[in-house]
Amino acid sequence: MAKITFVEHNGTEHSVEAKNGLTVMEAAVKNNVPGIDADCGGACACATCHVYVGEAWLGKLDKPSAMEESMLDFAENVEPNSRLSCQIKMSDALDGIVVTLPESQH
Amino acid sequence: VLVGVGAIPNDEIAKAAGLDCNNGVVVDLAARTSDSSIFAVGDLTQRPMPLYSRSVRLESVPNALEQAKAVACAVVGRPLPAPEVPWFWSDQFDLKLQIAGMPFDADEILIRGDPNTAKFAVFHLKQGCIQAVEAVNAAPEFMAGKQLVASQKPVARDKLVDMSISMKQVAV
Repeated sequence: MAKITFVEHNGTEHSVEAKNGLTVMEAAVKNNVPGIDADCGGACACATCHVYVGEAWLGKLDKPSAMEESMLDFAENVEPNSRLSCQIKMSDALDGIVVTLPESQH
Repeated sequence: VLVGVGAIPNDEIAKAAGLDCNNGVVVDLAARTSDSSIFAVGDLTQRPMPLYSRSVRLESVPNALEQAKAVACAVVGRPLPAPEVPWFWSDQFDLKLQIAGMPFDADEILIRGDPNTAKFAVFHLKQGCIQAVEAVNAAPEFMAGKQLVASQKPVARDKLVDMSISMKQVAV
C-alpha cells in the first residue's frame, strides 16, 4: 500500500491509500476524487486523467511512453511535470506521492 | 472473419411510457426526453449533434459520459457543458484505433502516413474542413484532428498529408 495525495485545482486535498500495481488514475476513480475524468478507462487514448506530479516524485517515475508523450502534447495547460495518471503504476517507491489536478480535463 | 451485425435500441419501455422514439429515445442536448421529468442517456438515445446539424444515435462510452454530465448539470440547474466532438477508441493487439468526429457529407478523403506501416490516419473533409479522423497508432493525428473537427477551421491539404510537417503545425 502506498499513499497518494491529490490536490484539486482549488487546493482541496484528498489522501487515499493505493495497492501496489494500481494506477494513480484508478486510485482516484475508486475513491471518487473529483477532477480526473479518465474517459477511456486507462488506455492512454484520451488524455482526461492529466496530472502535475510533485517535483520530489517526478524522477522516480518511469519515462512516459511515446504514446503518452503524443497525447500530452495536445492536452491543455501542459507543464514539464505533466503526466497521464493512468500510466503511473503505484509502488512502495511512490509512497506519499503528491499530484495536482488541472482546472479541467478538456 | 469480421461480422458487423449492428444493434437495435430496446426502446419498448420508453414507447410504452409515451415518450417520443425514432430509432432510439428522442432527447435534447440535456438528454431530456419528450417528458420533461424523464432523462435518457447512452446508446439508445437519438440525440442532437449541433456540430453536424443532425440527430444521431451513438454507440460509444464517451457519448454516455457526455450525456451523463449534461443530465447532472440540467438536474442541478447549471449551464450545460459545451458539446463534445464524438470519439471512439479500441486497442486491437498492437493497433491503437482512435477515431474523432463522424464522416457525414465528406467530399474528400486524405491519408497521412503509409497504411503499410500500421501507423497512419484517414481524414474525411467537407469543403476543406475535417469532419472526422480515423487514426491507427497515430495519437497526434487523432488529438489534432479532434481539435480541428471542433473548430471547423479549413485545413491546408498539402501540409496534412506531409509527414515531415508535425500535426501541431498543421493545426495552427
